[in-house]
Amino acid sequence: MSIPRPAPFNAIGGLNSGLAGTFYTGAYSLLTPNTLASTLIQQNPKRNYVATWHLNVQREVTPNFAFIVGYVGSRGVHQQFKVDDADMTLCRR
Amino acid sequence: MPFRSLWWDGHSSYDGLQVGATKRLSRGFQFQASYTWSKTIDDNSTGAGADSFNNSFSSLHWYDLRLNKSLADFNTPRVLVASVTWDLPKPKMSSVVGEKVLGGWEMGAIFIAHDGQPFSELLSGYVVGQNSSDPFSFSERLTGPGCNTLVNPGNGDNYVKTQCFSVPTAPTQAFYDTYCNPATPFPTCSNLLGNARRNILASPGYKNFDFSLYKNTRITERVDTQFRAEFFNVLNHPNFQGAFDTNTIDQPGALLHTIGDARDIQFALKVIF
Repeated sequence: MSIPRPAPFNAIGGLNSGLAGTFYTGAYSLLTPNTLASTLIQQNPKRNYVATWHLNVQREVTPNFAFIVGYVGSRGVHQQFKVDDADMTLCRR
Repeated sequence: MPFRSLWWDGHSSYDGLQVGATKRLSRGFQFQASYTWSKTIDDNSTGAGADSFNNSFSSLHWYDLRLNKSLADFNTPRVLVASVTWDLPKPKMSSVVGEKVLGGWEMGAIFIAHDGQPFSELLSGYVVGQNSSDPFSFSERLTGPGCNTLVNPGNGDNYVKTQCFSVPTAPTQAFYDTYCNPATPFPTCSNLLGNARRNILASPGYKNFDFSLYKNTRITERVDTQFRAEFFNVLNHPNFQGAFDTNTIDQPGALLHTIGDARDIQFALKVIF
């Protein structure tokens, strides 16, 4: 279940035991810090996009034979970057 | 409590040289071949959902993307694909044998070869973890004899030179005292980020050859038949996935999974009327 939190946070909880009934009720109160996950979502992100370009030469050598040589390039910026657990060691040396 | 985050600050780039040749069908013969030589660089290859590739990390270093910049998880430097179909010439015999037995043969073949995708030398679990619940971390790359290259091509049991990697170590006792997890003795620094970067290892390449043979036989003016014999991976060549599966923890650096199918043969008879 997803629990709204003041922006930019969002909390997600997961339970796989302790639930009563076939239509589970009372799950909210069962959530603990150990079963909750907070999510930080960047506010007002920049538009993500990919720019692509290509240049190619196509040549029909005989009526039945053709070749193509080309360059294709692309750059993507502001792409999604997801971290499942942001609590990681900083490298220090 | 795991703390997830989602940002829009990733970069990617692709540059590729593409070459292709096409011979259109004439005199019963056609072929097509294309070759791509390319490089994809990014600082993560996954989107907001599940990890897109099974060699992906689910938690890369969000605080400094330069630490992640490397070949993309799907980077495939060289790709060659070629295919051919050929209606075998009919012998110049007007007898029944010439028409029905020696005539009407047709063959086809597809050949694919490409480099393997890159992967990282994982250290798994909290022991060498990033002090996070995500069981991935970079190991330390060692120098020394035999460690200029990091894989043994053709050696499935010891594909990754695991002797060229270690748990990160603290440079000094003072560093250890200040920063390192005391659960492991000096100089092992189990919470230090290793310098074996993301995707520095290359998976073995992939090769596949498919072959088919058809026999077209006209029975009457209205009824035509085609018998097809199709051989997928006709050479029964095994292709191995890189050693990035968690199952390789029991057998570090070994190639334990194949990609694609073993040889597959199928026959079919088509009656056209």
